[in-house]
Amino acid sequence: MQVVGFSPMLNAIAGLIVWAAHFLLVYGAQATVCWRGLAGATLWGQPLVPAIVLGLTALGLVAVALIGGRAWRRLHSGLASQEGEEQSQFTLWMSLAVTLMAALAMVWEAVPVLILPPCG
Amino acid sequence: MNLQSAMHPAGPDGERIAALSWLLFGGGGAIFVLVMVLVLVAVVGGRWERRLLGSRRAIVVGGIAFPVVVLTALLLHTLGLARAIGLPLAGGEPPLRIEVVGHQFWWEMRYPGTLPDGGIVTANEIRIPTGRDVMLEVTSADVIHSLWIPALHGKIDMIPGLVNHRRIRADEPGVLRGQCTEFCGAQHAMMAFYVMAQTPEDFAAWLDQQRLPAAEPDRPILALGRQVFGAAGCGGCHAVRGTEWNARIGPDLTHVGSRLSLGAGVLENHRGTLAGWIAGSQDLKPGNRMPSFAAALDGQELRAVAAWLESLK
Repeated sequence: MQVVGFSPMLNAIAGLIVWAAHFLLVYGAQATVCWRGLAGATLWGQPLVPAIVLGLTALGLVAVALIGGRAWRRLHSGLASQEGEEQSQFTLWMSLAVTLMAALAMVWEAVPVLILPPCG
Repeated sequence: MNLQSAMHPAGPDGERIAALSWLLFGGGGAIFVLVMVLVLVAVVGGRWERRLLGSRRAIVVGGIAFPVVVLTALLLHTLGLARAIGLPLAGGEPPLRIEVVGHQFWWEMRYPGTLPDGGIVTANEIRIPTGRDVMLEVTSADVIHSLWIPALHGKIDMIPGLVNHRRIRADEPGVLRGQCTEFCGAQHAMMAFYVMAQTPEDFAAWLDQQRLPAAEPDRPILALGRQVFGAAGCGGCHAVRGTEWNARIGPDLTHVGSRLSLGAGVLENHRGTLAGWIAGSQDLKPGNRMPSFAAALDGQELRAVAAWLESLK
């Protein structure tokens, strides 16, 4: 039995790490802005909370696109099969699936700022 | 009686929330039945059906696409509803402001601007006019509480040092009940209150009555009761507007006789329960901050002070 190294495992869960970071930053930013009484403040002409949340979401989506794209290319380049590791195939698929899930989750987290007032 | 039921809404926001609840019950029930039918097919179905269920396409459609579409639609619907609940309702006057402060284990209600030097203060009861927006401004004096009138709105946290807002509106006159919904200590379960929705005319009359200071005793037993109240030290915690007592530790008792309940929904309010509460509040609601006065007052004194408090309508 082959042991999966640290790096493939990290790849497999990289999407989850991006999602977790997005979650933490979005909640932290919203709470801080509202706590400081800056609900009406703007950033580059846009309301502050939506600007921060949408900016962080765009960054998160780019990050998961890069991670997922890398997994996709490796899956289709034949590299994984050349290495002859079934587990490698598995971690690549997992990486791809997890990035898709993370992307969806980040979009769901961002939608409320487009609909609801930023500080309740 | 549906005094305290989210499934029997009494205002526009309550109706929205109840409709969402029915959508969730109905949708969740339908999906549950569908899944059970598919399980049955997987167990007793023929080769063709079982192969179909096990195909990659079935998994992608049923296991990924369907939940994503349903949950996205539900998210958007719920957010739209949350937005509607936060917006002012059409029609007329600015909202009536009521400040609600949570205490272990009772509720203080203030109506700012109703008196020249502030506003009237009541306890364990919210009176609101029908057909008008009411803005509840809630906070806490000690630990985190949560205010919920299920027939009217969703829960709202009461957090020390922070004021949260919730718009409510009742359509019809009637009595509703609310409750603390964040565990706040030993008597959390006995921290309730009543909501009386009144016609605007009745509400205005109630407000006029509440603006008056406490009535002067007009019978000897009431005068004795007032005297006992002072001698027993009740004024160390309670305020009675129009008298020398203005402490803010316990509920304001200026018009305590006009309230529906005692001890935050523990007892009905009349002379007998008033006497019982004063004598044995630690038996009725152990751990609350009001001491029992059974040992301090004799029977006549207890009857007198209860009679005086009952007279404060």
